[in-house]
Amino acid sequence: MKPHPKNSTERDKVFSDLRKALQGVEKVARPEIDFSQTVAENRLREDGLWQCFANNFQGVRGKYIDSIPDLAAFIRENGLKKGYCDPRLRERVGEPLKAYFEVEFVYSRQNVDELEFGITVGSGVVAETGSIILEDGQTSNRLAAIAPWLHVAVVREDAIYRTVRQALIAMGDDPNIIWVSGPSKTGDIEGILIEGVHGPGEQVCFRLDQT
Amino acid sequence: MKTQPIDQYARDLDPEVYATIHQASSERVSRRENSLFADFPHANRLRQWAGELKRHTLSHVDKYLEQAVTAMESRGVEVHFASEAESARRQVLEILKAHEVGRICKSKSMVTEEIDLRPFLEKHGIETWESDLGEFVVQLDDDHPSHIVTPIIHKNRFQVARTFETHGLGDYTEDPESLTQQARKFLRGKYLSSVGTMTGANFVSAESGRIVVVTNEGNSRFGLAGAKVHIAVVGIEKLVPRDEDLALYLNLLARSSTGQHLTVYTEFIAGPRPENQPEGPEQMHVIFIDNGRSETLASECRDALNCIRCGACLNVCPVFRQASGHAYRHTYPGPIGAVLAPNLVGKEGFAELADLPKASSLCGACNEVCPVDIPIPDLLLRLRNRGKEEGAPGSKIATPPMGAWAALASSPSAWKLALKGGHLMNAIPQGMIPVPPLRTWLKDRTLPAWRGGSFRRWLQNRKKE
Repeated sequence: MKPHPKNSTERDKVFSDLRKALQGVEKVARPEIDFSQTVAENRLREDGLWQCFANNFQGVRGKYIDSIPDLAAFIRENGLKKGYCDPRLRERVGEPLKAYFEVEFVYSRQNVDELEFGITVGSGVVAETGSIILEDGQTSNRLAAIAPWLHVAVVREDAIYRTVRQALIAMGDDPNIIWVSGPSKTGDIEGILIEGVHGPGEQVCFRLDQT
Repeated sequence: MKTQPIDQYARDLDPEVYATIHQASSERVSRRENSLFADFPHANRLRQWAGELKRHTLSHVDKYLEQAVTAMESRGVEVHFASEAESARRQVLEILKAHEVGRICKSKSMVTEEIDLRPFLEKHGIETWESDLGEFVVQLDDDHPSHIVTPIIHKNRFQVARTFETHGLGDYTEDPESLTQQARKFLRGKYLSSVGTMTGANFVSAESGRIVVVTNEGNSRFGLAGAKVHIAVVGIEKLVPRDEDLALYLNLLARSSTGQHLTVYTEFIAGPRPENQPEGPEQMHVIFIDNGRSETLASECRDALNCIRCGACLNVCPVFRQASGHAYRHTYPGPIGAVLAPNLVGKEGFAELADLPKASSLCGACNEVCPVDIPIPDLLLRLRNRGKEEGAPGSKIATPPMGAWAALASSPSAWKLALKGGHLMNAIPQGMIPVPPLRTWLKDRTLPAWRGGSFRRWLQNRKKE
């Protein structure tokens, strides 16, 4: 797309102002950063990466679950009755949950307020920070992962990154990647921690075994 | 002698507001310390790297900006430029009009505060909703944020409760959780019916052209799920060279800001949604804005551009705690604001804010907590100097006349006499000292008792020993 003539003038002006400003600025070399020191190693001391993840994820009040009965119990504890499940997870997650809840496999905007939980595919997790990785290529519907009170990201057990840096380097071509570290939070009113502001009040990571 | 404007704000500050700010900011100071040093015993080294890498990036900012723009355009992002605020506002409006957007939800963004975007859009018929809870309250109250990270640090739950009741969000309640639920309910209708959404950016990777937006509430994500057109307004100083560099900055940002390890939602956006994704913007526009940044880059305060807006220097600053953010009279309050604001406003605006660099005891706490190691006290001194050189009236306020002191200090006998005479000071009540500028100064302060000359005596005795 051709830039608008006015835009190209502004573009030239911004660049020429910056270059003019830079004339008097000494060039600073890129520092030699030892990235091993940017890793919070004391958050990675458990046996096994999934255990580290689980600890850190629970530390930010996320719920780590690895069996269908536990998942069903947790959804029930929250008093929820109806939700959405990505059709790709129908067999492994959606159908088993149908014994307890009403489960839709199509997400529609008309149902945003009725769908109290949403189950979508997560692309991976970061052990260091207890974060779930969601990517557009895998998330069947962005709204299904943000609008319901309870969101479940289903992650394959081999999709785990040890550190923030490893996960950053592995970011592929997906245009929208979001790391979710626990439920939606605010401290805006008197610094009091409240969960479930705009996004989920409960954030689940469900680990899917490769069988 | 006139008092500084910031003293006036501190004096007029409601005691309730003072207490709220004091408590919230000191809590954040200890949370920062706990989380940062527990995880990184060598946190100071990280701060130095982060600062050095920003200085590197800014000294090559033309190159990195070009690289980012190329990467963005290759992924279908439309990139625009704005040299100043009016141009940015116009371009936002043009994009919205071109897509017949009548309503937008926007995430918290300091740069959109800086260019006064919301009032402008509203004036031109665009219904604009701030979706960050704090900013939403600020909007309803027709107020201004008083902190970079916690915009309503100056309000308590009772004030929020009254605001929500007045605007019909629900029944009066003083329970913060119920208040939050009222906002949740109200804003979700707006997300789902807004064609446009706006964000800022915390970082931009030159390598991949990704912009990084962090929120705790998930409001930017909801905006980016509900809308079809995304506009991001981004200061040119937000660049970092590579994706992996974000490991350094993300680890420092949340810990410095709120004491979290990572902000809850950390979103990396490289372009419009792909075809297989049913929700989210089909168009992404990025407006890179200068608005005083190139001028700051050319100045000796360029290090202020390293700032990643964590708010740590505000929380730790004794002046901020006494005076609150509004005392700084600009989008960016606190110690970093006292440097950024007088620079960003350009040559014409400088005089108006030339008093800000003086509102500091130069205690250095701001530099110590800064995740990108900005030498704020040094920069404040440079700005004080500039104020004096340019003869800005604000830079003179509260500077005692030095003529009498100079005469005394250059005559040893007069000096000794004055030291002896100083004991008379102890006999006069401080409110009645017959030197008017000193009396003004003493309105907000107390002088210790005069002990005159004891240093010389101490030194002589010390030699004898």
